[in-house]
Amino acid sequence: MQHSLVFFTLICQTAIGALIFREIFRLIPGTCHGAGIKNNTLIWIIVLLFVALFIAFFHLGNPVNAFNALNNLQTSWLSREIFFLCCLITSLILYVITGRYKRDAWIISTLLFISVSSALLLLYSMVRLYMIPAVPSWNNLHTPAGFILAALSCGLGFILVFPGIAKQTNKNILLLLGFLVIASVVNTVLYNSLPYRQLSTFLIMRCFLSISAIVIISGKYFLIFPNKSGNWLVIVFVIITVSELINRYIFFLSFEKSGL
Amino acid sequence: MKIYAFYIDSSACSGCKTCQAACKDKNDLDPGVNWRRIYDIQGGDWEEREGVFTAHPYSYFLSVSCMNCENPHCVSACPTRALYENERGIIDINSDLCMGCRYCEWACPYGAPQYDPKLRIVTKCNLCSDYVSEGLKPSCVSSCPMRALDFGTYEEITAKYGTLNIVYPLPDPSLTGPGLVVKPHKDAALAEKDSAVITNREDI
Repeated sequence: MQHSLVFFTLICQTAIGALIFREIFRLIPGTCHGAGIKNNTLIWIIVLLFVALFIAFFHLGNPVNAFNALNNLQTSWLSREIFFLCCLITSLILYVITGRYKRDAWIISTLLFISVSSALLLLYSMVRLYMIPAVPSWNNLHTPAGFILAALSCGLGFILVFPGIAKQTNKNILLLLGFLVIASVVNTVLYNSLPYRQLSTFLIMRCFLSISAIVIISGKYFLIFPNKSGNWLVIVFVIITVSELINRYIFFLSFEKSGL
Repeated sequence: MKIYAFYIDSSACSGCKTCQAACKDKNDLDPGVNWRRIYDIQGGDWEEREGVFTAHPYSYFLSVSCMNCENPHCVSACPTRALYENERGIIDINSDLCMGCRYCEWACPYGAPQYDPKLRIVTKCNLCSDYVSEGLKPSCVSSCPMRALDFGTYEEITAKYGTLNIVYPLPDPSLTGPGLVVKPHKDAALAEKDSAVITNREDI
């Protein structure tokens, strides 16, 4: 059991989801406060990615040789994952710098395109990395579903809480967050019904946390709870993150190889 | 293209682990790092007839190392290219490149790549590449007192022993195309039906 991989994958996916939602909100009128690329959302996302990269070193037996990780881009999904992570970090940093110094619009647009493409390819590489033919417990549709839903639910939660780019009162966003939490927990329940290692304690904890998050979101959606401060969003984000963390432990602990 | 192959006669193997000991001696491997591993597969049931219980136990062994696969998942998974096919067509590892990510361990369905906690990198059987280049057989093969192992080019081995390369609990050979020919134990089909268990996981 490698704890660093649990945190690395989840933090990376949170950053990817946050970037995706940031750009979606910028495109949809009424969902964004109008903050441009100067918004500190990107700084937070870059910090997340650096934290993920740092954590990734802890699962290496010989981190001194980590610079060799890009040697096999032709066939290794792990090489590709690291490559796209490096691309994402670099392009985001350049995007922030060019935005601050008001460079040409086409440069900014190109860097944004590279960033979003790298984020999507990073998520795809992560999925393919774990869909190993010799590991049937991972080589199924629950892996992409779990990774994508974790990216979207944690990413949306992150972007609502930290930089406040999206309008917290927007009901459609609440509805989306609730849907993502439900979809993610349903995926876990279905995954646990497969004939691999059953982790009922983890599953109960995951369901309890997800239901708690849904109750709070529903309360806010139907205006049952008072709407004085944004603290409830922090609570929801923490619950969703812990719930996804448990889900990731379920994923790694269910590791089962075919053959020997 | 498969170049080399091992032959495993599971019906003759007594599970004495001489092959494993010879491998560890030749390659100076620490405890816990087993390039060749002996799997002990056990199963059976009871039968009651007119108040008399009759046991039907069975047990057999499989001696397994790197299969030098035609489609080696360990090589394609390795991000550093530490795992590579050498000039003789043998899957070998360049320990100067390995970063110890252990992704090859996940990718290989035969458990061939073995993490060495002391060196903090992955190590693996290279079919005694130095012996093979001198026209000798790997140390595990030449040490087997039961003559349950053999090694040669894929053509030689298949000409001598046939082409069967699957026996319970080995993985589906279509995954990687192992350089392997196996003679199953007489109870192997029963073991597959019963989903018999590997009882010595701690040793492996």
